[in-house]
Amino acid sequence: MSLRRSLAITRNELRILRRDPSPLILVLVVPILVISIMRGGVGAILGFLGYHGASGADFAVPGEAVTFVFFISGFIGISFFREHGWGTWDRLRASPATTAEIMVGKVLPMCLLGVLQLAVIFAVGVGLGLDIRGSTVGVALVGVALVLCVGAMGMAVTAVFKTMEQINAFGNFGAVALAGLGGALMPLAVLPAWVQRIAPATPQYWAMRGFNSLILNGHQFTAALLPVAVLMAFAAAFSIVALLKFRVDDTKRS
Amino acid sequence: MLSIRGLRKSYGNHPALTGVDLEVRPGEIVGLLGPNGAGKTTLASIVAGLVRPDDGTVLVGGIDAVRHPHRVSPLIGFAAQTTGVYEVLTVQENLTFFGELAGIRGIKLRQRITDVVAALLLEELSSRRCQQLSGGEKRRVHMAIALMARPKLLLLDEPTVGADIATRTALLDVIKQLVGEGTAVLYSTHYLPEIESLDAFILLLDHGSVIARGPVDQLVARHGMAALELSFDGPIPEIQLDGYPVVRDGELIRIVTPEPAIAAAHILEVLGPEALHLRSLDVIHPSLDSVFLALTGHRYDANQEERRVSAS
Repeated sequence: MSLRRSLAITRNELRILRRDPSPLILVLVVPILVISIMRGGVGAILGFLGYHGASGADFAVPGEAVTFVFFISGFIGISFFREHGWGTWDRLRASPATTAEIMVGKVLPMCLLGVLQLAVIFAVGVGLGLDIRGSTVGVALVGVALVLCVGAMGMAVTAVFKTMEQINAFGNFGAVALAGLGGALMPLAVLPAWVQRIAPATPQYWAMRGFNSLILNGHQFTAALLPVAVLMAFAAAFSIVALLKFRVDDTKRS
Repeated sequence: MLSIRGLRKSYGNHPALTGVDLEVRPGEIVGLLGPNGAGKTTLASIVAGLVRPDDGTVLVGGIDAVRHPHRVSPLIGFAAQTTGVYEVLTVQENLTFFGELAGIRGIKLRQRITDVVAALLLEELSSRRCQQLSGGEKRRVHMAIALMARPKLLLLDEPTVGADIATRTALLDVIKQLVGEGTAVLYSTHYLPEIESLDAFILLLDHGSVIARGPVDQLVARHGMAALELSFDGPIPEIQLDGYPVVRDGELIRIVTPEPAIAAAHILEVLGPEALHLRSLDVIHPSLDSVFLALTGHRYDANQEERRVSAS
């Protein structure tokens, strides 16, 4: 495994991202816009749920961060599929880079994008009224575990799906649907009972559980450990799916 | 540099290669010739490590390319049939990336890019994005990428398809220069005159098997024969010509003869008024084309191949 080759692939991905920065704009600007729109209404709901003194940003900031960070799993898929469209996938395969080096090289910049996204949203969120009452380190730890989970999910969807349309549909509609089911769009307590029952099956639920404990309830670092462990278990499961299903000679339609 | 023994590959029940042996020495060009489905692309893809063979050995520089594809890939420059470039990146960025992947850095990388860009006449295009280039220009970039690692073995699968004359000439000149410097080249093409101009050692493939091998002049001397071909407007007349075998091939009538001019005079006499329906009368001289005809029983349709490859 050569880190140099992986980093060469990462630099190339960043060059491509620079040529078309629309994904960057989407994952940075849109969530901030949505937070600005939703925080008033969400603040009222938090008051109704007994979080007196909490601002709407205390839920809307992590909620939108969790919702939009999952769009990156679709971007990871697209970064592989467009190689097939450009005819460069076979070039990469015929190069000295191994499959593992290609994977790392392509997923790493998207994970960096995820970390940047969370950092920017939380930083802007503080300006919009976000108050982290508990452990900031715990919040960061949940964020890192969340990004790793998204990276692994990106590899799994790349392995499983065959066409760019499938990737786009999952990356967009799938991310929003899972965010709704996982309690990232609205506090779980105001959602139907059936949603509350299935929510723990989504990684979004565990990320929100961690953020809510630390931000709304003011819990300390240890409150992050269970959500982080479950997010890492999701990441491991997605990685196993990717390892089992990914075939370098699969034909992907872009 | 490249040694292949007993190479076999099937896709389902369809055999693509049925036991191919091949050697390419440093400073030698081996031309893979054959129609659609002959197995040319499969063979090149196996050597490049993209396809696993069912059986046989492939040694590149003495290393088993099937077992250790990543150990031999630094020795190989591969330009697949389909152009492979990052469309949104500039020519320079494409070359930089593949140079870095090959482990070239710093001043050496810049020098290598300068050399490759100059060899393929890309100087004025190097800061342009590939999506702004013509098909021929993109093909030159595609080839330039394959040269970045200064390969010992160059695998070229239909490198000039869709290329304009200037691009074709530039590519062939670069290949000749590389061969002169000791690079081994495996050159798959459907374009017979190209392989003749490269003076390559020929491997003629048909349905996954080698049906002939040797230098161009030897193959032509051994198998090439002159012929006369006639096509007609309307139905093809029944022709009997004493001393000449007459073969119908689709809409053509072919007469294989060492003296086509004499046969032409005879046939015009035999045809009589039917000669008014002649659409064409072609004399086929001994060449690779006629070698292919002699060995397979049908003409090599380069235009059809070009259309197929361009479409892919």
